[in-house]
Amino acid sequence: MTDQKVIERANAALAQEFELDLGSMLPDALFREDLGLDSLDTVDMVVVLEQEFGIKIGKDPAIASIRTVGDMHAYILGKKREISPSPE
Amino acid sequence: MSSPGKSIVVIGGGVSGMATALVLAKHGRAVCLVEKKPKLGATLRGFSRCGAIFDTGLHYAGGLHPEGALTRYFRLLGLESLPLVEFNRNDFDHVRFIASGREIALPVGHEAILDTLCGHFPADRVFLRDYFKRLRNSFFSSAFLYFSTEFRAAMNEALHQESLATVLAKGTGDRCLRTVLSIHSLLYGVSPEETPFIQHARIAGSYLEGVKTVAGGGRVLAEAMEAKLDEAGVEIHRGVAVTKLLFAGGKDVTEVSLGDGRHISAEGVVFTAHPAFLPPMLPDGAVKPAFIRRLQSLEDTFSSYTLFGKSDSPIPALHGSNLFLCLEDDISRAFRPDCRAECGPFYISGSPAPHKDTSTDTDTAQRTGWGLTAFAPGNANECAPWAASRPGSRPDAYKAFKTRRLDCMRAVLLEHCPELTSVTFLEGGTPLTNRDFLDSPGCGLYGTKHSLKQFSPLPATRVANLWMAGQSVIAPGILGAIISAFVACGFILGMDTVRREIAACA
Repeated sequence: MTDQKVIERANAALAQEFELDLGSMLPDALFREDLGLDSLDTVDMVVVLEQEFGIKIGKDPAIASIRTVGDMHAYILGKKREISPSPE
Repeated sequence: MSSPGKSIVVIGGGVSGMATALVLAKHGRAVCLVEKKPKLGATLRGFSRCGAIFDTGLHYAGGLHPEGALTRYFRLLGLESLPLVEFNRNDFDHVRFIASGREIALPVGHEAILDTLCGHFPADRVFLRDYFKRLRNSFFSSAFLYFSTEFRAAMNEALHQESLATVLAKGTGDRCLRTVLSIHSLLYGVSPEETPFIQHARIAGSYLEGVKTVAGGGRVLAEAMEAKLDEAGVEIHRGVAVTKLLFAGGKDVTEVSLGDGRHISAEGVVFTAHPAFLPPMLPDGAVKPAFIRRLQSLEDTFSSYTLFGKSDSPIPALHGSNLFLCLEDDISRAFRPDCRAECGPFYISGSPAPHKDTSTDTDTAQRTGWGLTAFAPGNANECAPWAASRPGSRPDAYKAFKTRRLDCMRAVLLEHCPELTSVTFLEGGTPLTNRDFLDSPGCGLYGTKHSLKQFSPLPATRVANLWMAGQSVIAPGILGAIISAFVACGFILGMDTVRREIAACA
């Protein structure tokens, strides 16, 4: 899966599960201020991303530093590189 | 203040639901408690068979010494006069290792247990002193277990935690010692690799402070709570399920629909059942899909195969003492998916000790035998072929499977526990039995896992007047369920109010 494909899938999954406008999910968009999600939503976001990409995130302290959509992309791309990708 | 004609509806009549209803009623709220089973506290009550009593919810509890956390919560709930029985102070938990031939009797009290373990594992003295210091510090850092600790929301501790297995692996290479120190993971059903050390410390720490149970067992506790609910004027609906929460077009719950067609006008709702049962009650659009998905994806604690046996005379080894039988020195194996019931480890517990006054306790007065319950870790997937079946209509293939599993388990128990030779085994259960008897969709014994790999549900939800309590929210067991009730009530009545009340009830 290309990085761009990963980003598109992450955006689509989060937009659907949090009822967000896909067009608002720009890399600089802040989850809290721009998209209206808070720390409780972060917990739900972990599960959405785990299920979308078949990875385990759990209570990874790194998720606390995710502030923007771009941070989330970087995190998930890093995670995908850490493990062997699941077969398409 | 309550709104006229409206109640706070508490869904689920287990320990946490009953405690929630009691606390709210005590604060003058109109409360409706709804339980789908015919009786409140079904798990807690256990059952009687052939003259013996079998507990299924309460085997023993920590924190019941005079200054203990559970003592204080019982007092707040008006349960201070419950008759208690103390476990053997020198051997409340007995751990038997077959591979290495070791027998370790765990005494009550941090210092006593430290001395005992230093005697058995002299090479690990330094580690053991450090470990128990850390365990105590973690235990005393909980505002809900040690009441002079400043209150913080449990959610602040969610990240940056080490697992129990990591703490043990850093400290000692002795697998037998690691297993002794994590043996209580069998009492909350999560592997040491997944369990946050702090969670383990708060559960195991409560046992090390003092171990007791209620005389007469869980049934006596359930009946006492039920009597208090009646006194407090709680409206109780038994034998009927909540089917839907209604929102009347707004963002808050306004009404609760019951399976018999009735409706209860709701000021708020506290949901205390297994978290997987909440999503089907919520109408579309009430919460974001991501929240539903998370509740549905929560993994259960481990399941078990269970044997219930009876002896005509008391079994001394199980009188005020529990027996843990480990065939191997490594407990981690118990939590692997390929672990079979006959591999153990086994947790074996005796019947509840009777009331002193047997004239008021017909079950005890009629007792003709002494029961024991033996648990072995069980993999729910093994029962998957029969998942569609229900009690009373299980297919023959399932019955044959169950007999095979339990026969193997019984043979191993009898081989390694000469104490049990006088026992007649009467009944048994599989993960499917747990699913249907405990109302636990994933067959787990203690609700969903409190694990480093998943976030437990929080007491507050995204619906302003919907809260959650129960074993899956704060911690498992009687103490965990009761603490979750007080925290949920804190969101409703004001956390400072509840904290002050707990602090004042010394």
